[in-house]
Amino acid sequence: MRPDHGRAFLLRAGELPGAALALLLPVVSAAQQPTAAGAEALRAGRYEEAMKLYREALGRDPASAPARLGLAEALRLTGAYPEALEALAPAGNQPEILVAEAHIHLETGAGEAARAALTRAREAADEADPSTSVEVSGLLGRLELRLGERAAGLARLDEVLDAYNRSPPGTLSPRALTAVGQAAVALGFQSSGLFRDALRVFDEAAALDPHDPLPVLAAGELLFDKFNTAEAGDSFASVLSKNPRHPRALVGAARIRRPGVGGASPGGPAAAMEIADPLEMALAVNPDFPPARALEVERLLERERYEEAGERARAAVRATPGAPETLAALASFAFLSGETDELEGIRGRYAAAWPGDPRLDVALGRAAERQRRYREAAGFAGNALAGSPESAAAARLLGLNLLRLGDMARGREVLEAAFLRDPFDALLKNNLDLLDELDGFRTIRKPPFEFVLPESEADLLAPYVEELAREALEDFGTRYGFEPGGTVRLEMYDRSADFSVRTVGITGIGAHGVCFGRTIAMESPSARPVAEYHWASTFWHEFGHTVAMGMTDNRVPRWFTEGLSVLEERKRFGDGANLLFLTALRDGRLLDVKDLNDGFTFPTFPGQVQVSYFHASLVLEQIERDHGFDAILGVLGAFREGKDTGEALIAVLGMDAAALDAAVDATIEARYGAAARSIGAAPSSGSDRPPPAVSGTELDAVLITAAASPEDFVARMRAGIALFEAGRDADAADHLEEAAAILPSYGGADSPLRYLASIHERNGRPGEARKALSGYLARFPAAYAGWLRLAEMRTASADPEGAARALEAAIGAYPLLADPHEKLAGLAAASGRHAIELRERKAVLATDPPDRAGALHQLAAAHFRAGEHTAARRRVLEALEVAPTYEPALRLLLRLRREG
Amino acid sequence: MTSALTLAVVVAAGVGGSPEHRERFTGWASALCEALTAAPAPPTVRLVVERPEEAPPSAPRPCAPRGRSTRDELEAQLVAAGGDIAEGGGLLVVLIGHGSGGPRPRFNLPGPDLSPENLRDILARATAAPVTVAHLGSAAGAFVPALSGPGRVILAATRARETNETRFPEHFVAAFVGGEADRNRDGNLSALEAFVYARDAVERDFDRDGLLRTEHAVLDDNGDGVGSGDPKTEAGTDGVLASRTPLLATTEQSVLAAGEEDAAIRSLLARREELAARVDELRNVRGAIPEGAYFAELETLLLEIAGITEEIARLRGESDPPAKTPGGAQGRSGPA
Repeated sequence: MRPDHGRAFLLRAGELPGAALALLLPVVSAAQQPTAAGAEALRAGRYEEAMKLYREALGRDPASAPARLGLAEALRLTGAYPEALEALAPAGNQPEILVAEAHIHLETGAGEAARAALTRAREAADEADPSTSVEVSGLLGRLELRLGERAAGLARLDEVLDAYNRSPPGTLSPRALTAVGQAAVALGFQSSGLFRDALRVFDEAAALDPHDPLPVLAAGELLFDKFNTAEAGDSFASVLSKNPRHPRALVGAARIRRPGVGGASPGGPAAAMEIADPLEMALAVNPDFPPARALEVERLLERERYEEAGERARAAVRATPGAPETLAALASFAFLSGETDELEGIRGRYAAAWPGDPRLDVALGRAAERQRRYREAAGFAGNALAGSPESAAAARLLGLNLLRLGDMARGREVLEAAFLRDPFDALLKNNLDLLDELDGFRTIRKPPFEFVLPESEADLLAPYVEELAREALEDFGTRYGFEPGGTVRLEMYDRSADFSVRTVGITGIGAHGVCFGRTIAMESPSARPVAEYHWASTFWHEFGHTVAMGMTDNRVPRWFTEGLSVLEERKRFGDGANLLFLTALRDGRLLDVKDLNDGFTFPTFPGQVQVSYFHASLVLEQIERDHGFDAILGVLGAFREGKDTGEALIAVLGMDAAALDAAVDATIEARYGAAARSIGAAPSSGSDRPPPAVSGTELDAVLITAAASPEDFVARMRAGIALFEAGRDADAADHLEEAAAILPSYGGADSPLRYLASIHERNGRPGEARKALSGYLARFPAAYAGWLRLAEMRTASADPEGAARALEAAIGAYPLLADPHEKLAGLAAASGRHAIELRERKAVLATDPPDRAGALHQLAAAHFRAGEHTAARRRVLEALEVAPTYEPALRLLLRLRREG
Repeated sequence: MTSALTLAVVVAAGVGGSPEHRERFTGWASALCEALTAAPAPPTVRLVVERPEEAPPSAPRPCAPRGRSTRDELEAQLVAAGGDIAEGGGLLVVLIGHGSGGPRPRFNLPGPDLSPENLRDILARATAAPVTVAHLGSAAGAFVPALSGPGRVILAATRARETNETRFPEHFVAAFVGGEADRNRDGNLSALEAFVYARDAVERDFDRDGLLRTEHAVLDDNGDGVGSGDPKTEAGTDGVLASRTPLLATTEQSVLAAGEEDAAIRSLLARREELAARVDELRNVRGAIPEGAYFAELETLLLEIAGITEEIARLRGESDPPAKTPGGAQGRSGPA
């Protein structure tokens, strides 16, 4: 286990004498009233009002530095950068004015102008006032690092820390303290304790001036960078509660609320974080704020809306040509859209302007990572790390992407090195802890596969996992012409939290599997309750991604690879629509093909991701049906060439996305339209099941509803289930049969067929019961108990082959219990299928049964029957080692001895 | 070593506190009694429950409650059971119900509760024979120090401070049904086998439900008053005596062996038991021996056991041929 904290840097503890606070409280004269009111408006985000008041104040007193600074700040925050500089110009020799000017230049990416302003500020600073000097040095030092003047920058930042350590408590201004904290963050790679110290100094600054958002924002950004999204969210929420229009806080909130990065409610953010779309608000306040514009482009790229992203990125660079964020955004667009010349041009510009700032390569790496291009992501991260060896972001990006590529040793090495510098990084710690866990897993190499399984489950899982993997390789290989071209690594996690860390670095992901190309990570069956997770179809799905990514050099759009995987999953394991899809269809919420990516990356309603999976598979099904399977191969080939969805569809199918939409819509309408429209009572938000059944006095109401809406699937289901639970089988069957007729392709866990099977069985109709149960399981293969029941029914009807198939399916649903293995072994033994019997006897043993001696003896006997006498002898000895007087085993031992 | 054939048993279902718990405790007690009395060589079982009048009239006669499970009645039954013990036999006491921990641990009975010291004193009055106590309730571990001693096997469903309702009793009772818990297949369910079966089943329950374990069963049989969660059959550790304390004969053969009158067969049985003990000893030092040598020595011992077993069958004139070809049998019976 890794330590949670590193060594603390020896900064002095900040002490706040009461007098210091008193000094900060201004005495406001009548002449200063507009300035005070302006400050209040500025703090509350009423920027226009603040500007008006400050202008009034300057009209009365043109020499008022507070009014001038306030006006410039309001203008800066709203993106009126030239006007902000203009407002400062008349007082351009005062240190605080020059610092404000530098802030504007830094924000817009004018590095040399910022340096000039800061140099002048330092010269103009009053030596008796250490605060300005500390603030200027802090800003200058960090700027020098970004400009590639590493030695000078580090030396200057060290001086800032020294100045803080030398200064008597309470003497530095809040802004100076914030600069000290930021210097500590920049130097954090030297001593991890500095991050903690930085947070303390930010707190010190915030306590001195509770109105200043800067230290709180700096703390929030540091916490976010360390993946402490809960506390980061609190910081941004704290700023937004006072000023809901603060662009930097809004961008911080928007980053936290990105899907997959902590979700919408990290640690229960304050109401201020509930702003509908913080990014939209930030851009409304300041349309040219570089971090906001960069985030906007990033999101468009994630949605694979390249054209729009390009337009927005170019506009952003036109507005702030030197800002590293906007340059990085444009570079990301150029990379993902294959505009290599443009990319090289931007790289050149960036290298000239910000030679010491790794942000461009880190942004490129993240863009590549988001589009599942992990090898390129690692390449960019490597570049960033080579130029800025202390960059935690670059190390994290490189390490994680190496792990995704299956290069576990190098990935671990990079993450270990980064963690030594920064033990506060939650993502680093989570991943290194996970790698420690993986050390205890068993790695089984069966080329081209490498299976990494929990040690306690490896004996049991390995045969089934390998068998399924080989089947997938053969099946996909034959139809798609796919060859992995290297080792395919499959990691199975028995703890959902470990799987989640492997996937996104933090816990809480809702998925079961993830594919990084030739590396697949997924939950083992034991990670979820029985019947809630179907491991075999999850593997099949993820292997579909391996194929799609491999055949496109990882350029396949998200919607297409998901559609392909779900279609393949449906073909192999069962096929059925659920209520989420039907209600989305009824409500007109299915997306167009061109927007399908949004359904996965930026869902707008609960359950939309699940709806999009199924919908995408219907699109792929349509392509295959109308244009042949080769068309799917053709589209994959087009993606490999760098074409986007629209281009690929035209090139291969000869139709655009809208035409494909029309065809898919027609199929969906024919197959599901009537059933979807009949659904009256929408299921609860995000649910894939009908509303729960009722009992008692509500029964009459449910029956009345069903009678009034005989075509309503949900009404029929509710009535059928209620009657079933009341023991009124005949009446229940009427409703359930109607429900099944309305929606024969329903694939939910509570299919009408499930209930009908029970009704038929308890009313002595075994044939109909088997048929209904088979129908149910064909669309809901995770129903472990259903498969066992079907096996029993088939055994009772003298259908051992059918029973064996059902038992195989039960194992596909959940292989960790002995029951289906024992039964399947018995059936295999009876039919002389030694290989299956041996596999199943070994599985029984791997479940660690209470009767270990019995299980070993059965395995020994199976080996004997298969003619494997050496193995039989070893196993019977092991049985007798536990039970030395166990007579059947003793007899087998003698027999083996006598037969040699 | 006691014999399952000569065991006297007292099963007490304590106060339930609710109809559901009362029914559950009485049910487990009855099920245990029925399993014991259905065995090839049934012991005398004295059953006391919270409300004997609620016992189903269909309960088998040997398992009709002897009285209400008050402390006085329990004492009376224990003393009477002491008289049931045949020469070489022992006493099994099973407590099913709620226990309480803290400085004054108790097993909850109708009326005055039972303290560890009460039970220690009653047992001292009841018998000098070996005693196995299985306390299946919460905080059962608190009874271990007072009851521990030479010739005593103490099974406790929990450590002393674990006071949640236990899952152990359900599985402990199941160990007496079906023969699955007889790990060494010797035809006798030992106290150790019953303990391990129930302990492992509890562990699987908690794993399956994704819950943190709130009960950790312990066993003490080396007289040191400290229960072990993982008893072994290595000398000096908890588990040795328990492994030699049969609670139930699971097969007719074991009954036959215990009552064997033929001197030649008795001699063979003794030799086989001796060899089986040597297998146990060998297994305990497995890690210290090269694998090849270990299995060679193991096979030598086992072949001799097999030969003896074959000879016993011949002497008894059993029809089952000793080396029948293994067939495709299903279930748990052996294929040969």
